[in-house]
Amino acid sequence: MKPIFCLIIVLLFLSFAKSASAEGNALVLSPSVIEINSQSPSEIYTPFSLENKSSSPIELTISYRPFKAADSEDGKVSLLDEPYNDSFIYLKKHFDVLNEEKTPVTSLRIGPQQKETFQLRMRIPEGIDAQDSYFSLIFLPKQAEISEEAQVDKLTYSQIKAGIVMNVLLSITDDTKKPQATLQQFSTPFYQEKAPVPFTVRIHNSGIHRITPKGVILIKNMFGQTVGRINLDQANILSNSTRAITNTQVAKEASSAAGLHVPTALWEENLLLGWYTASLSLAMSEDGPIINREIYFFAFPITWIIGLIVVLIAVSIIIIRVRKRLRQI
Amino acid sequence: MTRTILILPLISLAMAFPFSAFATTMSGDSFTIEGKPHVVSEKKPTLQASPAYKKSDGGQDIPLIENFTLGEISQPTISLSLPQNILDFDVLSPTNPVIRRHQLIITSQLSGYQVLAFENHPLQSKNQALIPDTTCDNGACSDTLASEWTNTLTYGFGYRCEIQQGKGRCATGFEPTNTYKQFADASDNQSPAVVAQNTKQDKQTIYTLEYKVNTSRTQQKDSYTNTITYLVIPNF
Repeated sequence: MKPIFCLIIVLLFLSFAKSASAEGNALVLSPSVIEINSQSPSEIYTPFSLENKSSSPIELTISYRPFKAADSEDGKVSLLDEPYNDSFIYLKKHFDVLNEEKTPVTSLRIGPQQKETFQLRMRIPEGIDAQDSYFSLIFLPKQAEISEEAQVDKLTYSQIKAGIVMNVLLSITDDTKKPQATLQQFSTPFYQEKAPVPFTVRIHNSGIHRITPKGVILIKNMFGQTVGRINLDQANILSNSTRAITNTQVAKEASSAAGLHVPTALWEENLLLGWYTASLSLAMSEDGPIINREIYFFAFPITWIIGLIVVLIAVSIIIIRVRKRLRQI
Repeated sequence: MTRTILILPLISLAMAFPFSAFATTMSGDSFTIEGKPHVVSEKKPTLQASPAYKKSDGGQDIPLIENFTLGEISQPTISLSLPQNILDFDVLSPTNPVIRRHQLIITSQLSGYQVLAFENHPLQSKNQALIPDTTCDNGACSDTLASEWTNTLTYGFGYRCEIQQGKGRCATGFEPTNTYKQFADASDNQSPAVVAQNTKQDKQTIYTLEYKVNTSRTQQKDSYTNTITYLVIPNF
């Protein structure tokens, strides 16, 4: 009897083992975005950490890919195929990742449940023109080893790798290049029935360096009282790109849920009625310049008004009928 | 008396409605702005051999080099968790679709991310025989377009994405059940395709990725493999 039990247990174990898969990976990268302003020549050391949260060691390859802002205008990255341009190819030769012993490495090995700090070294050669360079550091696990048995057993399988990416926004500045940006759009639908009121703020950066404009929208009612304030998020706008600026995470969520082409800033207000003036003040950098624009919109809660009118009519009819009956009595 | 009471609200209604006809947007205003350059240091360039550090308020090391400043790090961490790295479809049996699932867990601080995916090539044997990427029941699905795949006589390899938990979003097209896409094929120079994205801070989103393989009776019995790569890319 015992051997039969043992056989069943072994068979069970074997059947489970077949469906079990190799352990995956769990990575934490900090920071995920690095913004650097530098001058030529310089040598930059930027620390970053990678944590392996899995219970087995992981080996990661490092690769660089230039990127540009995606057309969605919401801060997404669009990876570019190399060769992107000669300048990046030249700069890339001067980038490397250093381990704790300050030795350049092309792959990283991190033990289970270990967090290690590395440094991204960027040597900006002398005489290089003022420019921005946006690139991603891609950390990708090395290929898992598959046993020969799998192939003998005619098994079909896919290997899965999940890599994590760090974005680097490098600006090599000099004193001569001035930021250039245009306010592409500041708008809201003229007629608003109810809150929230969406504002589209799109800024195009035509300069050679990224900018992080700071902006606020003040809303005044028809009596000139300030009734609302929207603090716009400070977001990076890459060189030669357009970005739509929002105010809250909720705004981003609502914009995407509504299927809007670009995210909008939202003004939350309980009751809207009458004429409003929205004034945008936007500082393109800490040293200015500041631009001001005004737009107008009209708010009228028509659904509420219709409801109110219907109620008034109903009440009026009831009063009239009651009066008529009282007269007849 | 009754007439007057009824007419008054109607006049009010008529006055209220025309306003909606003015709905428009004010756009196209364009201003060229010129200002001071984005300078972070007025000091003369000097080559630094090694970094120095100072402690920030949060206790983090901030490198101090005369020639640059490390900008504000607005998105401190991003993490991913993939519970397995082998997807075993076992021995394939013709016209019997095999479905496998796994999770992909992603967290991001402050801002969003996107998940791109690609395969190195379609499922391929050592003899170069292929299980092609599915074109779904109507022959229309691709690496960017999802389409329904329920017919057991439709063959190939495809995937779909679902949200199990969290605020992330799978790429468009996966909303109806049983819709699948092909993976972008790197061997065919296709660019990685967006599988999922998130535009906001997210404590944790758990995506379920489902894979489906179905082969015809004429498909050579063999071991077919490929590698699928996911890239979690933070927004800037």
